[in-house]
Amino acid sequence: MNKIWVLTKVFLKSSFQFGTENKNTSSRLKKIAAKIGYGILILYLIGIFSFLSYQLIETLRAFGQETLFVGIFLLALLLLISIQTIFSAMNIFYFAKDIEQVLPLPIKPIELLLAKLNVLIISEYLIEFIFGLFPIFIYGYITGAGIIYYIISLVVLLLLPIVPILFITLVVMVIMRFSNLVKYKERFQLFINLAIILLAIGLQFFFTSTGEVSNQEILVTMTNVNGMVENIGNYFLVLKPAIHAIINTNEFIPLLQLIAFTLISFIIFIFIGNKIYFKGVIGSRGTALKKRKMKDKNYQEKDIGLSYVIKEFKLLIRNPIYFIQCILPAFLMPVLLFLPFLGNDNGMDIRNIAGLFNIQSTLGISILLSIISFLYSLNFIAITGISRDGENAKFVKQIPVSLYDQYIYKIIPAVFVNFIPSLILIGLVYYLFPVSIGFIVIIFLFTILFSFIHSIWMLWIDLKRPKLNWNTEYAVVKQNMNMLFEFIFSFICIAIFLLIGYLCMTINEIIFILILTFILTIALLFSNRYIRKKQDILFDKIN
Amino acid sequence: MITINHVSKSYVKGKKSVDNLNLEIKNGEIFGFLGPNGAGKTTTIKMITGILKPDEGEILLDGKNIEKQPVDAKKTIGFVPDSPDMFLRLTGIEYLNFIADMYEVPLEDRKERIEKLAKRFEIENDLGSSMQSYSHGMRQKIIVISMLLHQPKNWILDEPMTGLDPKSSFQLKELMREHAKKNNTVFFSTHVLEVAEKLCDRVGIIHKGNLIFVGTYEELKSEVKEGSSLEEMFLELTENE
Ligand SMILES: Nc1ncnc2c1ncn2[C@@H]1O[C@H](COP(=O)(O)OP(=O)(O)OP(=O)(O)O)[C@@H](O)[C@H]1O
Ligand SMILES: [Mg+2]
Repeated sequence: MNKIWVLTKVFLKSSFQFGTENKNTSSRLKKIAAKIGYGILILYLIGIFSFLSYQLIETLRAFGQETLFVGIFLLALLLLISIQTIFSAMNIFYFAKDIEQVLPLPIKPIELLLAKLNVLIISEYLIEFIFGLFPIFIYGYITGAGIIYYIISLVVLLLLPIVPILFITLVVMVIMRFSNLVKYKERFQLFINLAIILLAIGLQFFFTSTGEVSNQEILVTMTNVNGMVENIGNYFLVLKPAIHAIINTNEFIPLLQLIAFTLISFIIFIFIGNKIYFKGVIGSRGTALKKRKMKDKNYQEKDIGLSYVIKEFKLLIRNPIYFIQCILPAFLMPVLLFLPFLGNDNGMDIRNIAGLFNIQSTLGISILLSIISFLYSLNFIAITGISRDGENAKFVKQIPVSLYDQYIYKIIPAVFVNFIPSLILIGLVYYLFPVSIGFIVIIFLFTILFSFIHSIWMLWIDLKRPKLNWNTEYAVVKQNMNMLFEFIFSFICIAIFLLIGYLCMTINEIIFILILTFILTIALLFSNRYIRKKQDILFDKIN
Repeated sequence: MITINHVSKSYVKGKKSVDNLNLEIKNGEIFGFLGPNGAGKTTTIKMITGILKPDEGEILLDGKNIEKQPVDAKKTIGFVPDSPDMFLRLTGIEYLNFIADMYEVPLEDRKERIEKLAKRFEIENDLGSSMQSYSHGMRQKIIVISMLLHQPKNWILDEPMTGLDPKSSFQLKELMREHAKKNNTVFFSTHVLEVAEKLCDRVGIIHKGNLIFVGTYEELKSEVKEGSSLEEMFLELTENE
């Protein structure tokens, strides 16, 4: 038992490493600043979610439907936790380098399994703390609940993530055990992971299209929402008992049910995990050497730029962690966000509503650019362009290719991947609004200009604060303070776009388009000139 | 040819990792750079190859200043770093093609050179596999091969023998000799004194950032007590500070 906790602590430390970028140079002050930064971000998120929950509860209360909140809220929390777990389980249990470090130690497989499980559960608790705790308290406060409510809801919050975590991890373990038998192991693992994610989205799509959020009468909608929650509840074992435990605090059956489900899942998990986890861990490392002679077609000559960009893409795509963390969100997020608009039956309704809004206006254009700015902020390719290479980053200085050229080659994958959200958004606009082709083309050109500007500055952030001494690829994306700056950048851009749009509201949209073209072009030219002139200094931290 | 003029570097203020280094390594020469751990070998090599900027002084490669004409200077260099874990997600042949592209090696030349070198290191049938599946030594061999494709005027290697088996180590030494014979410069760092003895035309010994000896191996022997072994010589020189 003791060993499990020691292991858990070690794993937690290695996965939540603060300020490891440059052990020698980063001062205490910087570390404290980083912690304060995290603190502010967390408080900010807690604040926003508390406020939104408060608004929602109050609105529902006006119709005497406040209990609905519990269902919607727990469902959202459960989805969030499940998605988060899908994204991180494979890494925590199999790819993290800390496993390699503890494997030679005298540890029982079950101890490793439980320690890793602890890490996953604790990181999900962190998410619950940020997104889940306060809304539930606010609900209790508004409905004037007694002390027993708070105790029960705490227990529910503690139990809620466990079953999905166990379930998803079990699936992952089976995949990894099985994939050892496959030749192209890593590709197979990636493929299966993708399939799970697509399935999760598919389910969501299924629910949005049967949920029929119509715009008729708000009460009808509410019962629909209730129905939807119930519907999905059938797929999530623990959702219904959790909801009922919180709504009816004088009944203990739901809570007991929840506990029972958790216990049973845990026993199954231990039973199967004990059998397959360790074998999977050992088998999942390394790929096989296959002997074969080189043929003429294996020797290829390419232009420097092309060869460089292809290398960047290969490294991104072949590394499952980079693929899942950097590329996938770029098209998952727009799909997830826009899916509700494409539901089969209500498409017409939404188009009717959309027709009331003139998108080909100054404000419409600014809003579109703001959405693009938000979507681009989920693309982590440029902001990890240097850090992803880790110890290899100094390679950029070894080869006889100018640092400016390499700067451009490094952002091209980011610019390319940005096409995905751009095209999805533009497609949606074309589908929903009666717009001209000319308008579509102009918006598309804007997104390309902005994509270049965005990527240049994201790589700039990475160069200023590179994270090169990581011990798992996961840390590059997930435990990287720089992401905060990416969000701040996108926030500022959104503010600027909306401000310009607002200021120019009375101006003819043709002139507005000219103004925007001018601003974006100048910004791009300036950025380009800046990196060209400063190329020597910009790469100073890479050595 | 490598020219190092009054070069100093400190990572932390007040503690010089390399202190006023002066060296000239001529064409056709194999130069061994010796020193205990933390002496400043890697730091020096990083400055020569343009990875690190010196605080003072200048470094010329075939007369080209690495800071002022980095691209031209780097074209003359082939650099084998101390860690061979480069872009492991690529296959061996992909990596070699990529490096050849960076140095603009024509197709026919690269094909011929890769085939020849891979055969010598006995990895010609492993080039199609991902470098993740390579052993440390195999990775080292790929890096060595990649850094010979453009036939660099200045071949610079940081502890190249670590991880190589005796046969491959011998092959590498042969390659170094052949490379120097073609009137190129070979500069490498090592801890292993025997290697320096048999291979180098000249050696330099760096200790705590200071160059405490430069000369031929014979000269080195005459500097210390008669009959002392290699290790003793080395210890004597580095401890008499
Ligand atoms: N990134 C760095 N930051 C701070 N100090 C450094 C850094 N790299 C090296 N040093 C310091 O510079 C000095 C020289 O290090 P260097 O790596 O050049 O030694 P070396 O001769 O290559 O040693 P080894 O034989 O172990 O490879 C050491 O004292 C080391 O602590
Ligand atoms: Mg060294």
